[in-house]
Amino acid sequence: MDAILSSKGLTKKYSKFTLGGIDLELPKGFATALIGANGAGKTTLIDVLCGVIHANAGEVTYFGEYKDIDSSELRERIGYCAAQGFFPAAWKAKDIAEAMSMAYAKFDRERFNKLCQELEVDDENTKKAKPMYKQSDGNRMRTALAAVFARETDLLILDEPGSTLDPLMRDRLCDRMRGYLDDGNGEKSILFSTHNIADMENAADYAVFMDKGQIIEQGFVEDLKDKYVIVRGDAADYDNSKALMLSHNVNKTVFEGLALAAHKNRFEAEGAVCERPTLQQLSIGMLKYAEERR
Amino acid sequence: MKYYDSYKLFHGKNSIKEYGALIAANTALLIVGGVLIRVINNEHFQGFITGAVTFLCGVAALTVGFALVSAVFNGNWPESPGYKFFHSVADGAGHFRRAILFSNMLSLFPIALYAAVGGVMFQHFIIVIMTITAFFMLGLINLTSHIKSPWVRIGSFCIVGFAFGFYAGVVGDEEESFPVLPLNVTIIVCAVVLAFYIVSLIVATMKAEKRWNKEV
Repeated sequence: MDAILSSKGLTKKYSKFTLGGIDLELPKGFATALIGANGAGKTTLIDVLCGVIHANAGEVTYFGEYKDIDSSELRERIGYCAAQGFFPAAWKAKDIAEAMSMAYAKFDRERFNKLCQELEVDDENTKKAKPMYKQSDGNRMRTALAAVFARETDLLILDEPGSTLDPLMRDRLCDRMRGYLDDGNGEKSILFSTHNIADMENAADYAVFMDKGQIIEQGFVEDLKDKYVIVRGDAADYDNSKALMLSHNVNKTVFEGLALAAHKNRFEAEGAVCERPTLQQLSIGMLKYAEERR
Repeated sequence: MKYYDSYKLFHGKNSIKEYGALIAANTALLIVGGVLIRVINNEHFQGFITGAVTFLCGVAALTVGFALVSAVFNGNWPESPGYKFFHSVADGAGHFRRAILFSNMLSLFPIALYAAVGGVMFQHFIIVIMTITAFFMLGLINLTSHIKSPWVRIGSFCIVGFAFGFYAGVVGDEEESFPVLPLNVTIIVCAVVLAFYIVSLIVATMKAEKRWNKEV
């Protein structure tokens, strides 16, 4: 696999949380979803990868050649957008455009204005434009996304881009992310984090599951869907099946759980039904599995 | 240009226009006040205008300078919106250092203008007091910007404000002896405060990179 970003033993320690020993390989030309519950370490990992904070140990290789995130050339190639409060609260669209053009050589102001109009937020030409603090979380995110998509980059790293957007806007974001990858002809990649993959399932090609600062599973979504199954059966058969399931739910009539596809025949012999999971089902099953084993 | 660009990174669009308007209004108020105390020959009125205008304009000049400098320092506080943007930019530490220097230079302009115009129009000791207070406060911002607790800064500002107020009061009480003793003392105080400000600026710019990379 051609990796656009790889890390080895990446560690960031805080007094009450450790992002520990992250070995990651992001495939080039694809969108990778970083999935985990709140507090899993997604934002910390993204902040380390983008150079917002510095790791205590380990190393990251970007585009197969750069190791120093402080390199101007490298930062020019990475488009980053934080989950919230990315720009100062008093800034308006014009301030953002000024600062972005100052910070990045390949920031296209015209494109920024056009994207702002498409995303239905204030642009540079809006009369009586509102500062960020007077805008909703969703509009702040739209403006930040317009700013990051107005740059010419090779890798986009977006922290929870969909969490504050309405379903329609999330759908448009997925389309834009797909468009970004298509324009790149296999050279551009995306890493985005989410704790609710349901609305952005179509945007993910590769998934990385995190729990308590650790990666618990990673792989191409289609491969993961082949690797695991969703098992459903009568509650009466639950006791026979539960030992083979990674995580499970049971009520008075039925049970449902996530299991390795390798055990499919044994479940079917017990009378249970096995289905190919969606990414959402896979996420819930994985996170539950991790939670139960803490 | 490089310094101006770094300043702009932390301030967004060209804010000099707004600050320019504030400085112009402040200077105009000083001139109008100065003219009024010459035209209206009433001791109470002259005392009121002198006290009010010199104090208000001094505070305004300091506030303009304060806003210019603290907007840059705020960019290095994780709690401040914009922190992640500034820290994801290439050569962020370099921008931070240059922006501290440029905003400090800009902040001196309203204070220097206040001292010059106020000095000519009022010829009152409060102008000197306000000017050195402004320099001292700016120095204090430069030195205390790395302390996480805002209370340390607020506390030190209060103490310094009180101390300078007390000093102004003492000088006001002994106005008759002003040309003899306090002038000497004032020259020493001015020199010390100026030295303090210059040292604070050197420390702030020299330590900018370290502060930038230090995670709070």
